[in-house]
Amino acid sequence: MKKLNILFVVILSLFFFTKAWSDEVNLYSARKEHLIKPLINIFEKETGIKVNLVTAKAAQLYERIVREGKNSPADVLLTTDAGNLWKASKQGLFQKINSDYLISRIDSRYRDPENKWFGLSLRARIIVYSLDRVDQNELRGYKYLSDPRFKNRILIRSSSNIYNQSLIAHMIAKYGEEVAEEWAEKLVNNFARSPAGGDRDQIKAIAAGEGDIAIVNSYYIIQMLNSDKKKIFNNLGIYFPRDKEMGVHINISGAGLLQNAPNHKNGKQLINFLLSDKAQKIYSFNNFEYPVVKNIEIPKLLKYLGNFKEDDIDTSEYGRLSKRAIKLADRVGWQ
Amino acid sequence: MINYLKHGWGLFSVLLCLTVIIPISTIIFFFLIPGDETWIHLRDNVLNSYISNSLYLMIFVGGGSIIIGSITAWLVAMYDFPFKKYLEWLLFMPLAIPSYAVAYCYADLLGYGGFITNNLGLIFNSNIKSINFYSIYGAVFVFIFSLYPYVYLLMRQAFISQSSAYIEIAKISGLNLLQIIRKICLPLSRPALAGGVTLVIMETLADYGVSDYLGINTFTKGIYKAWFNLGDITSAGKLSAILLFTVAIIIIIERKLRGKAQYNNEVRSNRVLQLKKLHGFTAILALFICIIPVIIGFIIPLITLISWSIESIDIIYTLEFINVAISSFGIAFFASLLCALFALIIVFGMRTNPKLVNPFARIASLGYSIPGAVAAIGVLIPLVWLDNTINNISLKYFNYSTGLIITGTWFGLLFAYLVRFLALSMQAVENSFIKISKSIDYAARILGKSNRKILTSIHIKIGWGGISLGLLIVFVDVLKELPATMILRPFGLSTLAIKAHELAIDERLYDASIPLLTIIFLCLIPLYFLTKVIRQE
Amino acid sequence: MHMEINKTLKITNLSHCYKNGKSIKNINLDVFPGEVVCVLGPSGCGKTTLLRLIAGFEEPSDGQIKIGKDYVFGKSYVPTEKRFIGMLFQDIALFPHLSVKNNIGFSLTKKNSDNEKIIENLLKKVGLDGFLNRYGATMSGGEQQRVALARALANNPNIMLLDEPFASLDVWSKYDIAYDIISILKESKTPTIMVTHDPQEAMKLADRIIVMLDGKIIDQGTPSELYSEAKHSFSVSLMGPTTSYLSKAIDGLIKTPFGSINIVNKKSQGSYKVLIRPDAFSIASNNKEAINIKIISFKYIGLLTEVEIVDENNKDNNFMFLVYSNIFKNIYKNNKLLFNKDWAFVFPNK
Repeated sequence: MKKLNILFVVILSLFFFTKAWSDEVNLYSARKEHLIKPLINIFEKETGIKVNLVTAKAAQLYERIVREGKNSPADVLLTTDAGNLWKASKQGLFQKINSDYLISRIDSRYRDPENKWFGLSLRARIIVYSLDRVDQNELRGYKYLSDPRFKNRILIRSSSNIYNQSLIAHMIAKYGEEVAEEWAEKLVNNFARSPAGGDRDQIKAIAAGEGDIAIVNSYYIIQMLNSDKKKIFNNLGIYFPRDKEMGVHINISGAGLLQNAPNHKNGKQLINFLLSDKAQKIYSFNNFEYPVVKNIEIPKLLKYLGNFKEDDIDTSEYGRLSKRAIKLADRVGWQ
Repeated sequence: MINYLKHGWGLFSVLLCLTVIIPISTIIFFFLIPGDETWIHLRDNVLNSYISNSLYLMIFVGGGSIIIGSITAWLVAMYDFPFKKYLEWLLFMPLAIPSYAVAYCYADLLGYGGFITNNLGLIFNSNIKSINFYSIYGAVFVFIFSLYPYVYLLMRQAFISQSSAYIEIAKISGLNLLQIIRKICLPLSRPALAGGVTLVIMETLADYGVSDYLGINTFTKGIYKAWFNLGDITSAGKLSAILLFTVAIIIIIERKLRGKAQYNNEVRSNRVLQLKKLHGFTAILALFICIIPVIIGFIIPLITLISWSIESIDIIYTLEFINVAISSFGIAFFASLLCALFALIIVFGMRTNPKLVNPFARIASLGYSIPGAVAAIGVLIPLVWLDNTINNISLKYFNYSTGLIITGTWFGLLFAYLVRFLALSMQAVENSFIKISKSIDYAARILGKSNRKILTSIHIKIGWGGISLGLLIVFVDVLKELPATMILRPFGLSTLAIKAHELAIDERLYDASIPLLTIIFLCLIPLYFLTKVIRQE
Repeated sequence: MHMEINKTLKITNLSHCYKNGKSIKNINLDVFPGEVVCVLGPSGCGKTTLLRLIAGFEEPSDGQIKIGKDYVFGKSYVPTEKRFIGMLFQDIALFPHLSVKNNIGFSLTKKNSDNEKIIENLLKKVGLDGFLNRYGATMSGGEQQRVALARALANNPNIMLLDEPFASLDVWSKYDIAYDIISILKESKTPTIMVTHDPQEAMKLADRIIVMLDGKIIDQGTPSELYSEAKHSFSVSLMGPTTSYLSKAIDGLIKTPFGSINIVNKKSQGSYKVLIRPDAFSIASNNKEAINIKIISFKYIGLLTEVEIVDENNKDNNFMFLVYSNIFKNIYKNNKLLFNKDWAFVFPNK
């Protein structure tokens, strides 16, 4: 029994001392590990700085950083949605980075006006549809999706997903809450089924004949077309929704340096790296997202989709209106 | 005459309980703050669907697991039929597979391009391209077949240990089989049934992975949404409190159903039940009934996962996974030890000083009903306070900033596991201590042993079977735990469960199969010991 | 080794109250070396509580307990572990995970080379030579209780407490074991308090019997004293076979089927209960005081016979009484008997 106690104490004290004394940076990432790992590996190799990674949902990371307070060990917060960036910034979690390099790299639309966070990649929320059952001429902007002609034809994931919440927030910003609510209500009426599964499941459901039109993030369909299973998706068309009033809804994944970052120099270096050409290329070739930095090479499939016209909305609206968007979704019964 | 020695043990137990109660009460504290408009919004729009979904789950999952668990337990305890020797322990194997893994498997098998849908078309000549598993029906299905073993294990134990005398009396009195079951076996096994179903329901209510993946709006979902998305801690606290309240009611009902059953086992007066051998049709029927849950809950998911893993054996993954697997194993091991240690002290405190310790112990057990993420936040707040206090003191006196030394380390996570799983350990220890007659305590005290000696030299040694069962159950549950781990884990620590969940959500099910299979493999180790215990009986 | 002077128990004015209202009040009791005292009473009378107070499992609300020279409660306090008591339980409570040897050696904490010998001697004393490595589960109840005794004796107790230790033993071996255990205790001069609800046990095993009812001691004495001179109607019924007869006192006289009995206070009125032992009836040879009886029926129940006779005082009901069977044979022949009022105990009937 005594020996067990000693062993116990030894192992426990080992935990205490696993604090690495080497150069490091602490990254809180809402991006899943296997997606961010390739970038981290390259960074570590090039700079010798060890990256300590915690992944969780953005909201959980946010909560943890807030609770940890000024002694929080977090250096960089990485999220996959502009609304989350806004929220963290508004709470005062980020500190300004005065870097001409960063400012020159990306368009002002893709970074915080006060330089508290920086976009890293873009994605669009687009329509994927069945070539057999949908005529492209039927498709207009997002607002048109509430038209009764689409009854029982629309597939979309749950409103609890951040991407939909940002889309709804966008609609509120564009059309006002009343009109947006009306739109959402009618949209729910057009659902082919109660929201189930993720974006890819909506695409699969079109192939299965459960619905005709799916609203998904751009990189998913491109990934699927790039995979071994692309035959299943032969009969699918891709459309970037836009009309006279509203362009394509895009979202930004980005990062910011945290206010109390203990390793703020390393944190800055990490953010710089993520905006480097090498990293941006990985974003576009590995994940099929759109780079934020101009003139980065994009893979064939992305090129093939062509350019699209983004809506000119200030993406900070996603964050500002997210709570109202969530409540609106609840009210109209978008599960 | 105040005698600290007498109350010392009790006070120590209460202290341990308090460490667990503090996070629980931190959550409830928010319940007391008046609700704002977010709460009103939740109350008006989604509270009803949370309640109805949760009720629906409770009723149907509870009912389904009672039926499957009791019938299989009855067959296995009372009869002998071909392969029963194997089925006896195969029937609780679904415990090795996390319920969210079952969800991943069936969602894929029944979805578009899934194995079952493809072949169903051939068998039934139908045009079904996919079955929508992402619904509450899917969730009910998953929970029933992954949680029924709790009922099975407890009922089997109850049926085996019931005295054959009762049944023989009933037979002589002319009762037929159904009447015997209804009038004697079921009432006698009521405590076990109540205990098993309570476990099933609490696991269902606290679940995160399945409802997240299948898109079900449950209380847990609502709590997450309120806390993390709407940023309203008060509403999350209120929802948590409602959940806690519901669970408290369930526990009270369970105790009433348990009645005042005394478990003191007089080995001399118990005759072992003679198993009736089944032949022909009835034997095949029994075999069939018992093997179906095993196939649905264990074999199909296992084979599915194995077939997926073949497609993605990746050397790089394997190397990294050994690291992750060791972390998972290590933390589960320490968590189960910690829970067992606390449970032993507290339950022994309940035994020696019931009036003082019982109320605190009961509240501490409520931690099991708190969803993981809520427990994590509940733990985070006092730990951060403690960390900041230590930091301030050290700044003041030593001019040295210690930073966060408890939160964000193993301790924080272990603490959350303790809050979450202490009830399991306590339950196991209580069950094993209940068989030890009080006279043994008295005899040892009279012979000069202090409380600590009595606990270590007698109770632990006699009750070791039950205690180790508790260790194993906590180990398995910590391995599978998801939300609290995600929030509280220290840097560089990933667990198999987190890896699997991230991959699955990202629809990389083939890759998710490797960590899942590792979890299952690690879970099988303690379950193997359980089979040994069962075969010894 | 403790001297005999330590082997006494003195309880003064002991009181205790449970939350549900049941209590014991002002118990005084002395037990001397070598004495076996039985506390006898129905369930709920407080006898087990008394034992638990002496053992230290509960704390009295008032009074003193003195074991040997030391006050373990009252003027000072000693916890259970240090009171040097021995105890036997109804459910025996051998430690199931330990062998007989380790059970007995449980209190021998100091690693002494003598320990082995002590254990072996104790085993011999309780008549279980060779049982060293056995386990409780393989032994009979009687054997287990013997081991329990050896275990208790190993602790060199100053007093022994027995909590209905023979209740779970089967009737045939019960008294063999009981006599053995009691004689071992007397030989070691250890004062023993035994709690039981069985008057037979008390009669057979005790030097002195204490009768308790509703938390108070209502009677005390040797078995024969209680048999013939009990002061409380409950004790009388408890300590031996009795026939009960209800009657009214008129001018200080109580009428019975066997004549009138004087009561002390001639002016007493009211109803009385007369408890009659079978010893009251003897053969009437040619005695002038012989009483005539009319026997209606009788039933032989071993040592005693139940007899139904006509009650002159009560024409409606016949009277049933108990008499020794060998006496009855003669009574039956002559329809006459002798009644010894010394064996009739009169109590007011409340």
